[in-house]
Amino acid sequence: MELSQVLEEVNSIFCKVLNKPTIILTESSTADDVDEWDSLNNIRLIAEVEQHFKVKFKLREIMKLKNVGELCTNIQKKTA
Amino acid sequence: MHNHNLLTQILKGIQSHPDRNAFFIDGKYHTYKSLAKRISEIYNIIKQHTGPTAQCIGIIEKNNIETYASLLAVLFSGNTYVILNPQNPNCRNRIIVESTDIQLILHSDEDNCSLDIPKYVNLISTIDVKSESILDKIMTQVDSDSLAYIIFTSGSTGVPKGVPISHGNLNAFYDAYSSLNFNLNKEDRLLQMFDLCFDVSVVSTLYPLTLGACIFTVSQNSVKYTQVYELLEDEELTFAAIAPSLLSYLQPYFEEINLPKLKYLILTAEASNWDLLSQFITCAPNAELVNLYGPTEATIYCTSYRVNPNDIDTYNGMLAIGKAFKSMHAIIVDENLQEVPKGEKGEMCVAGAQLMEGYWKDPKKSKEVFVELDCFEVPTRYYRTGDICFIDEKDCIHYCGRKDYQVQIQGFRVELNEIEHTVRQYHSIGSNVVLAKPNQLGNQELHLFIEKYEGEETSIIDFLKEKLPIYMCPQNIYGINELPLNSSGKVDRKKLLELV
Repeated sequence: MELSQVLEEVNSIFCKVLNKPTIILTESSTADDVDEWDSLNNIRLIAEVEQHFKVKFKLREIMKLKNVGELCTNIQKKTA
Repeated sequence: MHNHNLLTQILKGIQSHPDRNAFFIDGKYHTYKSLAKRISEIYNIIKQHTGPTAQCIGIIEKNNIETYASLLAVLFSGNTYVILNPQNPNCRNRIIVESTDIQLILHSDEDNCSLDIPKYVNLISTIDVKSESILDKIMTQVDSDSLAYIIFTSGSTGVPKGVPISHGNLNAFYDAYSSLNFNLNKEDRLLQMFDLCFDVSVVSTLYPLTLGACIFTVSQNSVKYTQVYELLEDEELTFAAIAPSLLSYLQPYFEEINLPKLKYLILTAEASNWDLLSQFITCAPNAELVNLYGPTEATIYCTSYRVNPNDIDTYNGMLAIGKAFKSMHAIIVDENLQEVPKGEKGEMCVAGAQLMEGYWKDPKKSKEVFVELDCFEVPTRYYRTGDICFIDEKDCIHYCGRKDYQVQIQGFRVELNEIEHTVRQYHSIGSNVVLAKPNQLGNQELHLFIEKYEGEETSIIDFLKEKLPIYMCPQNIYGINELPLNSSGKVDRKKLLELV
């Protein structure tokens, strides 16, 4: 899957989970850029991403994700 | 003899360990020497802008060394610090600034501070201020009646309540906390994960400095649980005070977590569910678990329970809160303020040197929460905690729930915790919360919010009907991925009520 497609799908997951259709993510977006992205929502986002892409993240992998781009690259690797 | 003046001990800690690390913030270490310089710089600013009379000084909270140095400089200057959280609504911060008559606010924003501050307030940046360390000239003999900080908590009327804590309160707390005899020294690495407007941050910040140890802070803006885990594991922290909800976030990953260096895990800020903790123990095999309880009004913590995994004291699955701190006394009273016998539930009242004098400029509210009881044959001033507790045969205090979580359903007195506990027997993954809300007819209805539950509603109801009287079975059940938390790390019951 192309990275841009992963990003697009991740973007719609964020809009759905955070209940905010206006979110526009870029590869460099972080939790600091999206007001609603806190601990609680992070768990919901990861759960939704895992379900959608049929992948599983370890805590250490989640912890090392520094931005949305890294999340997408990780998904790309896991689904390859 | 141990000196129980907290400020003196902090100063000694700072001066005795110049080359050791005091803080680890956002990936960067700060030595005690650089901390001393920062404090001196800000201390000088404060002295230039304040007179001889103590006053409240606002600090805009950020996760950086300037914020922590500002807090210490205000304390050393004999003034009172009041934290302003930029995440709070502007109107809330404005109420705090106006009610405490703040004339000076310290901030550490690169640009101008974005807070809506009254024009008469002197807003000063603590970035790029230069001066030599003058810490050796600082006097730490602050009058014990003068206020160290005021923490604002949510008030039932919607206006935040100010809880002023004096240096005398803080010193009494420090004395009692030191008596818990944690085996800690300058080599230890301690976590500070709490917002500065929440009082556990006070002990998480100040106590390690008395030891010359290093404090590892967590940024408030982003995802906290992964940051905490990262620090615990990668930086091999030895001491951590956390809210139990944080563990529930980490629960799906317990198998991956390995913290052999952790010596103490303090559970605080909310009731601690033993089921969850007993699962966590394998992640931190060398850690002693300690449950610490206390209302802000009685200075951070005022009871402690040290967990012996082979002999656990629980009530409804929640860990006991143990015994009162050494300068505090706790009793359980009934509705007529009469002490109840052992084993009987009632409201816990606490007295002692850690008690605040009264809410900030709110004598009416203060009158409601303080009561004089003749426990020692002389009238003693007690604070009514609003917490329902009982004392068991071993003189151990158990927390049963909030007075206000106890509700009347069809005339029956119902403890919501009891329902939550029963739900956990059926579904032990994650937490659950039961709330009561009046329906259109004004009758209380029970709503159950349950984490990670994918089963049928009917099967859980059938289970509850088997265990509880019918009036205690929730009418509405909501499956939820994770319970929302407020800024203190407690389950946000208000937010949940809005979902009903």
